[in-house]
Amino acid sequence: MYLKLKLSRQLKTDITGYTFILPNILGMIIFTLFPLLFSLFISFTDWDFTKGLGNWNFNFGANYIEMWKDGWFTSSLFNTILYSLMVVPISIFLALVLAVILESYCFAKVPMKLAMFMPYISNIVAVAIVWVMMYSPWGPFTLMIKALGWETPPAWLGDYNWALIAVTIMSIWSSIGYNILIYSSAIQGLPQDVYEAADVDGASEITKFFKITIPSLSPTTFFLVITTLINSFQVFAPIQIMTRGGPGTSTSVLVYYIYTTGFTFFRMGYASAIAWVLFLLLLIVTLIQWRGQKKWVSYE
Amino acid sequence: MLKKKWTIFIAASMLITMLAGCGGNSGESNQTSSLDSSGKTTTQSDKPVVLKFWGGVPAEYGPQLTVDAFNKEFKDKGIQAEYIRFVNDDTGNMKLDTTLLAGGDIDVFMTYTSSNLVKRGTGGMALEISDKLSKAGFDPAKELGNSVSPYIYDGKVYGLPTKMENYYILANKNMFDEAGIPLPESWTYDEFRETAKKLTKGEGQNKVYGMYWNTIMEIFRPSYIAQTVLGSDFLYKSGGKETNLDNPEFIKLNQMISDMMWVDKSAVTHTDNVTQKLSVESVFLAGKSAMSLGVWTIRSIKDLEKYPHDFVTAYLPVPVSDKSAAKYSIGEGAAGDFICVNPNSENIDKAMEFVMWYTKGGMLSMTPYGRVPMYQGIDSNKIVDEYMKNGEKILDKNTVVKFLEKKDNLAVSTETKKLPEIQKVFNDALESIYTGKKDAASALSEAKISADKFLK
Repeated sequence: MYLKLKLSRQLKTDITGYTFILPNILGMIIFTLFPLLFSLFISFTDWDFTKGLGNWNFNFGANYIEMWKDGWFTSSLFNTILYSLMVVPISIFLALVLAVILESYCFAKVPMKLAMFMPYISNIVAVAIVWVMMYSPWGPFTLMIKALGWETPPAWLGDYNWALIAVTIMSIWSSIGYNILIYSSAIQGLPQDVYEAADVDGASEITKFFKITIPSLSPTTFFLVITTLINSFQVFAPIQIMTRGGPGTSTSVLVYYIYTTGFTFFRMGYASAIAWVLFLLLLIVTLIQWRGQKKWVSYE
Repeated sequence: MLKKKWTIFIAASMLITMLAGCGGNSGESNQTSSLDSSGKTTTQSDKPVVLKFWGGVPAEYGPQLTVDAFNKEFKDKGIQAEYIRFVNDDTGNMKLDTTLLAGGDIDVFMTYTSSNLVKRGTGGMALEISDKLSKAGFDPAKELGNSVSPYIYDGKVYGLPTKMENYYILANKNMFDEAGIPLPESWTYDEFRETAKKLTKGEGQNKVYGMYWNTIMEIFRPSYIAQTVLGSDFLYKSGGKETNLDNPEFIKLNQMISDMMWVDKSAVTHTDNVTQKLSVESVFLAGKSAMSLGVWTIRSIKDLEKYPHDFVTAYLPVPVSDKSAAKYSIGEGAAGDFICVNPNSENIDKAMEFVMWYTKGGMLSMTPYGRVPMYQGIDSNKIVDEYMKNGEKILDKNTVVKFLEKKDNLAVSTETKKLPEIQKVFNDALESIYTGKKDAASALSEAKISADKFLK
């Protein structure tokens, strides 16, 4: 009798708990879990989105094989990796240097930080359009470079070799504020006694930066590397607005190609397969980093 | 204990209100729908049926006038129409498709490309209306002209073409007059290229180019000019198993465009186009080029407030590679603006009335904004008058009349197999030609090889 009562009481608590989280769980199932599983399902079919729901044939992973022979896919993959390899190290290292300068050698810290944070909170569409103008032959960026002595600067967004670099510069500029903010708050939390000890030993500023600041910020760096990498693998908006993947395929990135396959070629199955490959890639890279962190990340 | 009771009570009441919320909603919708149906059956005269008409043109460029005219004319017949705009791009069309598939609240809608028309017709999104047309005594081939035949698929009509398409070159008549060049009635590539060279003047930011190819909006557009010789289905070799991208006509045309950009420097380069995001408005209407592609920008040409200019725009035929071989007038498809009926509409017959009214001249209020009716029963002078409306001072009537003439040699594309993929290959190749990276012959023969893979 007692046991029965206790069980039902447990049950009651459970019901209460689940009732409270029900709206959230329902939303998650409908808007996240179901689309996720559905995309996995259709990635094994040849579903043409215009033919309506249900008109699909299984092609048993043919999508996953086809993409490696697809020139547009391979160059998009290449561009994505190249883009990430440029964005991640540069934006993180630059942010670290700027954060240190801001924290220790700068007047008017707050307005400066705010100024650098502005691009990050600005609408990416507006930012991209402004940068299109900056890059135009009569734009400030191009004119500035000309003034610095480079007589025939590249056509930036219109140049096969420079378009991706142009987008990268903009991305770094617009995302660096966030990295600086994270780094500055981490720097504020660093123990001062270590620096004092170094001062006593007569260490130079450069030595302190490389031997103390960088190692003690490694957990922050680790966090930023993972988030920046994931973000840069998923870049879409600047590409869509500034270049639409062109010229040729020189700025076509994976997410943009997924969009093209899905909504221009209507090949939802193939597009989903690429999306899943992108997910697997990100998962693998993140796992490797997670393993690798033991070697360089120290939590004191 | 008491506390626990309360939590359970609160949780339970939350659940109940949630469920009640759902229930309330469905109850409400039931109520409105029953009201609707009763309204329809009993008191039709005081509560007219409102047709939902979806189109891609901004309401202020004609559709609102059209719908207003319809509402005035059909006030006593118990039909009214309401215009809803969708953006005619990939995303907007997808929104339309999904709304149609979901049985949404649409009665009549416009389709702008033949590939979308086929897709919607065969996918159950557009009603097959051939029997309804014959019941109304309307024979499309007779009433709209021969160029509609490609849009009737084995006798099935998924949408009535309403707009005649044609492809002309815009010319700044004042610049032609200044240079003492008469407006040509027809011209070859060489003559065209010479003219563009003569019209080019100035340097740097103040340079006036002979030609603006408008390759940014759709890099593919200038290639339609090859249709004058190649005719219908110019992208495919006969049989549809091979693409036609390596055709000498394409090579000749695109090499000329590239040479105008990079050798003669008489045309705005594609690179400038991309890096400055140029448009017909910012180049041609700003007086920075003497010619351009883009008759479809008539809305902007007439909008003197937004694009102030005082020169006269004339319409010139496109140049051809060989006058004797050029047999076709070109359109991007000869007919456009397919008006379709939603098969799930509750008012199909009334929707058909709207379709007939629109096709037979209701659309004339769209003509001042560039939509030329196909319907043969409309007096051609009336069309010219409508087209010239608000543009009498800035449009050259003599050449516009030629543009508006009914033509029976329009080239029509019907083959659409793997078209988006083939176009992307073609676009990539054109980009490498127009940026001066490759010559037309090698870029296009490479493109043919990769495009052919899609047809296998």
